Amino acid sequence: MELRISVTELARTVSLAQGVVQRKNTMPILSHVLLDAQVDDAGNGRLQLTATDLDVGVKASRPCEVVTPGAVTIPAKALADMVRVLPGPDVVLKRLPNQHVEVKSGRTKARLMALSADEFPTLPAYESAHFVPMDKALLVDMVDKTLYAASLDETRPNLNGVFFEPPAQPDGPLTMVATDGHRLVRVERTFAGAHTFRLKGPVILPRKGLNELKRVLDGSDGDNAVELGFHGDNAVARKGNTLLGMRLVEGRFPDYRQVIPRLADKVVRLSRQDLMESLRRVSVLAQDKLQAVKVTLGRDQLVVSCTNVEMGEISDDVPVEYAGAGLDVAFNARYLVDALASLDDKNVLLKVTDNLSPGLLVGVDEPRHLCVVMPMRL
Amino acid sequence: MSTSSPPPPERPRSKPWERAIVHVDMDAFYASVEQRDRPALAGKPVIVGGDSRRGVVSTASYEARRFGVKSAMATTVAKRLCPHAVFVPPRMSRYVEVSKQVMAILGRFSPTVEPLSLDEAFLDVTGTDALFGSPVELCWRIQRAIKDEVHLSCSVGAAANKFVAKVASDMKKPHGIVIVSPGEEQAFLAPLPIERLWGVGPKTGERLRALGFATIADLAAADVLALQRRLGGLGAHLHALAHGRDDRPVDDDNERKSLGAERTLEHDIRGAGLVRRQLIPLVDEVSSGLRRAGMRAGGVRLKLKYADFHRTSREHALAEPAQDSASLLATLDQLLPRVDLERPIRLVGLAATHLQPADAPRQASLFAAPQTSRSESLGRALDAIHAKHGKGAITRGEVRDGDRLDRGNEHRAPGLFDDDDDDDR
Repeated sequence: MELRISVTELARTVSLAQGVVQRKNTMPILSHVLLDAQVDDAGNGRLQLTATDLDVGVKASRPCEVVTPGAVTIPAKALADMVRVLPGPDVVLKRLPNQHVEVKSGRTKARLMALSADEFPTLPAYESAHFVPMDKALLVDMVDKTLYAASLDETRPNLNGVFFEPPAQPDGPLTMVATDGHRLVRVERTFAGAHTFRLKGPVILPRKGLNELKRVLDGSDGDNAVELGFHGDNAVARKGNTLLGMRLVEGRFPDYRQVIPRLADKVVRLSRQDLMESLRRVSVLAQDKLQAVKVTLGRDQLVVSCTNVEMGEISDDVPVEYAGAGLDVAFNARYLVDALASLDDKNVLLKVTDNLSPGLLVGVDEPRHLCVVMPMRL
Repeated sequence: MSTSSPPPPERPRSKPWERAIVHVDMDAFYASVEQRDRPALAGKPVIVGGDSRRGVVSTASYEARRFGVKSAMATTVAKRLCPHAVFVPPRMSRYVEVSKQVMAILGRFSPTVEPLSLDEAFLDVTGTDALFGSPVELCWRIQRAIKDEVHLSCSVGAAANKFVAKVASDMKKPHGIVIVSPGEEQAFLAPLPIERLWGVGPKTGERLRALGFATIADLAAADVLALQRRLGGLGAHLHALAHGRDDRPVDDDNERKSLGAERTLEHDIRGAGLVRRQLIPLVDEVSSGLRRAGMRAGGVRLKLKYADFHRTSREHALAEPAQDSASLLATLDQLLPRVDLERPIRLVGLAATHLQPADAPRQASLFAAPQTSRSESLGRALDAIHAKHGKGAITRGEVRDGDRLDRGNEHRAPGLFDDDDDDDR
């Protein structure tokens, strides 16, 4: 194998692999990227880069000058570190005998240890997925609004991702839900083709895969188009000549509908910014991990307060519109701040029932984005 | 090395005590408590332990030890060796109570006390000579305070580190005091068999002996790199201990990290249903322990020992910190499918982990079973019944006595759901 490609282009391509390759060194081959240089029937050379940790995989194809077709497997980190500092403008990658790859750029010449391309695992046929075109900004927004709430607790794998449920009807919304068992967020968005994913039922998109999806989409330029599809037990996103696949999370997502409060009788209207700032001030005195703060409701009054037996106390008045009964309820301040930060409206509604039932945060004009937060018991 | 009681004049020290660590080990603790509480037993061979077929000796009094009775020995064997011994079922709550008194006494000698179990503890007494005198004098004071106040005997070892102090306390049992001064560690340890080293069980001992190491001196003389090649990380560890080096601090983090219960079964069992049924009383026991300790568990750990003595354990987080049986059981049910229940099992155990005070704020769970608070009230009610009428006065329908294969423990009192022929099983 021998190919010539611009250093900038190679650097951008290799960076796609960096989040995917396995950091833990359980299987050495998984810390490598597969580079495959081929010439198509029209005589155009292409470099295809493949990286995977067996759960998430990325395949990116870029035009290049192919001197000799062939494939090789190089350590991802070494390659990424190197291309970042190569003088350019072009780099030549050439496989040498004895499993080495020569890297030449400007006056720089290096040799990297490689592994045989035959050892690299075969990825699922991501390209055969049935793809549905989506708006990139919409997809990124839905992921941003949900992913933060997914659980990091590996003993609860079914919560380590985002629930994804396309509508049955053409005019219905795509629903995405995430929860860590303490708070939950549900986002619904309607778009043309939302009902055409051809899924048998809802699925759970893995957290790591969605993080990579954001990287791929954030780093992509050009139009606002992206495609999302499913193939076997994989979800696949396609952006230009890059394919990102992720193995769906197995297991059942909890019945999120039952925990979304419907009949909360205490509805407070307030400025999103005001509450967020109060929470940030008050949580200065909150205990590190649990971040417990008290929310006290009174007529047209909401007081956020925190008492720390070792340090002291703090309280903050938030201007609100409220005509309901008084209530004391404690929350993890971070959960409220996360939820408020993810909402878009200037004004939001806080809906609560009592100090043991879930509270709800929702934008005044955007009922399709709900944040549910379970109180703390003091 | 010097031994004493009461304190002799001390020899001039060759090296300063950079750290002074004391290990206090109660002598035949459970048996001594029984002899103290029941004067009729004083001076007689007393064996504390279960008396079922599978039961083992928990503690034997020194009178019984003279006949060769040892801890962890099958009670059947103990009976053969010492047929006239008085067999007493263990009263754990009593030992816990007495242990607390002992630990309180130790707390007067140092703020840094690390209880290892109910009957032994480390104290870091570095720099206390102005208060309590030399190490010998300090050990003697500790021994006398425990004797005077709780009427129990203990053995005390002092050295510059934990390992040597622990070996020292065991050298002159019962009621001994052994001081190993700094610089004397290696000479003190040299003649002892390698099994005295922490980390050397019967298996490693056998292996070391096969390699030609019989005494600690043999190991100390060995080349550390050669040991590492043969034993890996353990090699370096043992080499350091053999030289009397051990820099672990006395860990006075008195927060309990877990609270557990386990049971050796009279017959090996297998199958999810049977294993679960054996665990249910332990769930109740742990739940009751949590209430007593005023703690909630953040996780549950399941422990199994198979008939071939292989062990396995699995841990799972609770949806929300809890102390009630229903929550613990729900988590246990998530653990059971993750272990092999088809191999014969001889011991089941359960521990509540990630403990936090019951009155600490806790994040409620969106998906937790709503009946948690009812389950908590039920637990408290059961505690009250047990306190008034004795343990076993009320048991779960799921664990009728006929299902229980273990015996000789506190669940033996007749229960509401017992069959009539209780004694024939």
